Amino acid sequence: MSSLSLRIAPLPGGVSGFPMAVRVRRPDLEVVAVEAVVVGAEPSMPIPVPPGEYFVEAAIPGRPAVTTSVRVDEDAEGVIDLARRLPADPGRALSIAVGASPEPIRPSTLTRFWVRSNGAWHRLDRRSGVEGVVGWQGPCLVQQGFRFTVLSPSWPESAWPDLKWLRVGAEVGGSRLLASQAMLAHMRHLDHTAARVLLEHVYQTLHREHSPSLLAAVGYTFARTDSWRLRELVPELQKLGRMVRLPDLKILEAWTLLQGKRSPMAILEAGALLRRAIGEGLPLYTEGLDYLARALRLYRVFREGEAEPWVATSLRRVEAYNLAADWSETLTVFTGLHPDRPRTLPPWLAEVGKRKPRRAGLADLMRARVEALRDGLVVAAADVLALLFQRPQRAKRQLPS
Amino acid sequence: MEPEPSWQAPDWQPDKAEARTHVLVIGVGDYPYLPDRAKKMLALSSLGARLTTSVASTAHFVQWVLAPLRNDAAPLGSLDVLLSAPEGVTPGLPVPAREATADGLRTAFRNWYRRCSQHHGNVAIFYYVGHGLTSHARQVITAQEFGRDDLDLSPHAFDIKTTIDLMRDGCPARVQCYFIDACRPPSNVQLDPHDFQPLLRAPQHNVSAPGAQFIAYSVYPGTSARGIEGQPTAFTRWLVRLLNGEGGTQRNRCWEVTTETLPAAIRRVAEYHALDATSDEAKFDVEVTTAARPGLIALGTKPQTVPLRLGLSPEDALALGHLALREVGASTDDDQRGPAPEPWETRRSIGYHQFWARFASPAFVDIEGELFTVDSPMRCETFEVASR
Repeated sequence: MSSLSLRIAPLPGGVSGFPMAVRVRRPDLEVVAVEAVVVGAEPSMPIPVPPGEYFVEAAIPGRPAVTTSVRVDEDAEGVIDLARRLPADPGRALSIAVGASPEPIRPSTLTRFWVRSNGAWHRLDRRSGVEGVVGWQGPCLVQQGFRFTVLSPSWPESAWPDLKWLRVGAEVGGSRLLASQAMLAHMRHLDHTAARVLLEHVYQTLHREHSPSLLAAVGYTFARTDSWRLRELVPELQKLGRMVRLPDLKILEAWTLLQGKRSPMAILEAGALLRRAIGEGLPLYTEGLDYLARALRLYRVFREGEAEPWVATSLRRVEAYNLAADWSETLTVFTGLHPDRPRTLPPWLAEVGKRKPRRAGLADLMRARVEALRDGLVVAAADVLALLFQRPQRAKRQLPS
Repeated sequence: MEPEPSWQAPDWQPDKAEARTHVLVIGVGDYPYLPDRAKKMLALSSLGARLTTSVASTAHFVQWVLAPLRNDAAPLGSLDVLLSAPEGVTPGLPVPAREATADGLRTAFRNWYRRCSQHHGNVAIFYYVGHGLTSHARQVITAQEFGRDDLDLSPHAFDIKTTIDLMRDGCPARVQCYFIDACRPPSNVQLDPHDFQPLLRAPQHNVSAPGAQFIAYSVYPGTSARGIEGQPTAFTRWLVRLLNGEGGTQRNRCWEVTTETLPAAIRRVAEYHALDATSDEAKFDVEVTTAARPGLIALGTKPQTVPLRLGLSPEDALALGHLALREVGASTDDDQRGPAPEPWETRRSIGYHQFWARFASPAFVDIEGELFTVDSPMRCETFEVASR
C-alpha cells in the first residue's frame, strides 16, 4: 500500500509546535483525509492512500489556503514540505495582535504590540516606529490596570468614527496569548472536521501550559464541537477563573451550567458567574460576546418571573458590542468612539453613506483624559486609559496607506 | 385535536422509529394590525403591512422541499406550512397551509419539535420569512397579529435565537437547520418593555451530545432585508440553489449538501458579493451554533462551472499583469487575459487550477503556476505579488 507523509518544517522566526489542519483531497475535491500536522515536528503518521495524484491544503488563519500537489506511486511515500509555501513571517501570516498585561508593562513588551489598520497588521516598534504606518518616538505613559481594551493607531479626525478598539489579553509577554489566539483563529477558519482533528493537540498543550487564555480558546472550541469535553474542562475553568480576571472563563462555566439537566441551584450559580463575567469587562475572544448573550438569554428564560434588572441591562450592553464587533477577528475588536461606547451602527451602513455616526464620544474621552490625545499617535485605553503614546511635536497626520 | 402537518410521506408513521426529514415553513406576508400600531411606535414605522415577498419566498422554498429535496439517510417525512398572504395575493402553494397566527406558530412548532425528536437521525429544517426585530440581543420573529395588543407586543412575536439554543440540547435530531429570512434591525428602547419569549419553553428531552446546528440569516445584525414585490427574496433564491447542489461538495462519490458545506457556501456567496456592500447577497450571515460531525441535509447535483474572480494584491499589479489559468489535468488550452485594472471575472469548472501572472514591469515578481482550488458555489482568489 502506498502512503503519503506530511511534514511542515520549522518556520523562520519560530512558531514550531503550532498544529495545523492539513486536508488531503483528490483532484475532484473529494476529501481523502484530514490530519493535524505540527509545525517543526517529525513527519506525521503516514496516511495510506491508493497510488494517484493528491492535493494537500494547509489552512492558515487570515491567509488563502496553501495548496500543493503530490504524486503517490505504488509502495512509495510522497512527502510534502509545506514550509516552502508558507509566508516567511509567521506573525503576519497569523494576523496576530498581542496584548498587554495586568502588571506594569515593560518597554520590551511594547514591541510585541500589533495594530491593525486598513486591513493590514503593523507592529509597533519603539526603535523603528510603527512599521509602515507612522513613526513613533518619545515617551510613553503606561498605567497599570487589567482591563486594557483599546489599541488603535492615530488616524486623522475624519477617520475617528472608525477607530477600532481591541480587547487586549491578560497574560504577560504574549506568547501564550499568541498561541491561544492563533489556535482559536485557526479553529474558526476551519470546518469542524478539521477543527476536531486539532483538538487533541490543543488539549495536550492545555495540560502543560495552564494558560487562562488558552483554556478559554479551547473552551469555546469544545463548546461548539464537543459538549462532553467542555464539561471535563469545568474544574480547570473554576480553578483558573478564581485566579485571574478573565470573563471568558466564567462565561464558559456558566454556559455548561445552563446546558443539560439544569437544577435551580445550577441556574442560580450560572447567574452569579455571568454577573462576575460582566464585572470583569468584555470577553477576550469575540466568540465570548456571542456566548455571553446566549447564556444571558437562557438564564432569563430559566429565571422566568424573577425580576433581575441586571440581565436586561447586560443584554442591552452586550448587544451593542455584538453589533459593533468585527466578527472576522479572534480577539474582541469593535468599532466605536470610546471603549464604553461601541458604535451602534454596523460599519457597512456608514461605508455606504447612509448614516454616519456622530463623534459624540471624542469630547468625553478628551475631557476624561489627556488633552494631548489629539496629538497622540496611538492610543490604547480601557476602563481606564492604559497606554498613550505621544509624539513630541505635532505633525501632519496621514492615513496609513 | 392537533392539526396534521400540511404534507406527510405516505410511508411515514409517527410512531415508527426511522430517520426522516421534518420541515416547518412559516411565511408571514399579512400584518393587519401593524399600520395602526406603527403610528404609535416609531420603532415599527418602517414595517410594511403587506409583504408579497414572503408569499413568493414561502412558495419557492416549499416547492424545493416537495420536489428536489433528496436525502437517502433521512427522506422527507413531513412538511408543515403556515402562511398568511395579503388580500388579493394567491400563494399558489402545492400543499394546504394554515394561517401564521401566534397560536398557530406555537402549535406548529410544538408538533414539529415532537416529530423531530422521535429519532436521533432526524433532520430538522425550519424556515421563516416575515418581519424580524431585535430586542435585548434577541432575534425576534413575528406572527400575523403582531401589533394587535395595544400594550404588549410579546404575545405575537417570539425570541427565535433562544428557541434555537433550547433546541440544541433539547431535541435529539442530529441535524438542525434554521433559515431566517427577516430583518435584524438594531435594538430600540421602545421594544425593551416587551418580553418576547421563545417558541419552546421547556424541552422534553435532554441530549448529552448535541448534533450539528446552524442558523442562516438573510442579513447581518443591525441591517434590514429587502425584496422585490411579488418575488422570492435573494436569500431564499440562493438558499434553494445552494440546497440543490451549489452548496455541496463531493463526498463518498455523491454530491452532498451538509451542515459543513452549506454554511461555508453561504459565506462564500456573501464574500463574492462583498465588493458591492449594498447588494442583498453581501449581507448573508451564518452562525454555526453547534458543529458536531457534519450531517447530510440533501443530495444535490454537481454544478458544471462556477463564477471565479481573480485579483492581485497590490491591486495596481492587475493593470500590468498578463494573467493565465489552466485546469490541472485538463486538456484544454490556457485561459488568458491581458493587463486591466479590474479583477478577472470568469467561470471555471470545480477542481484544482494553476495561475500565472507575468508582469511587463520589473517592479513585480511573476507568479508561476500557483495552485488553488475552485469550489462551489463561487470563488474569489487574491494572489499576493511580491515587489522587487
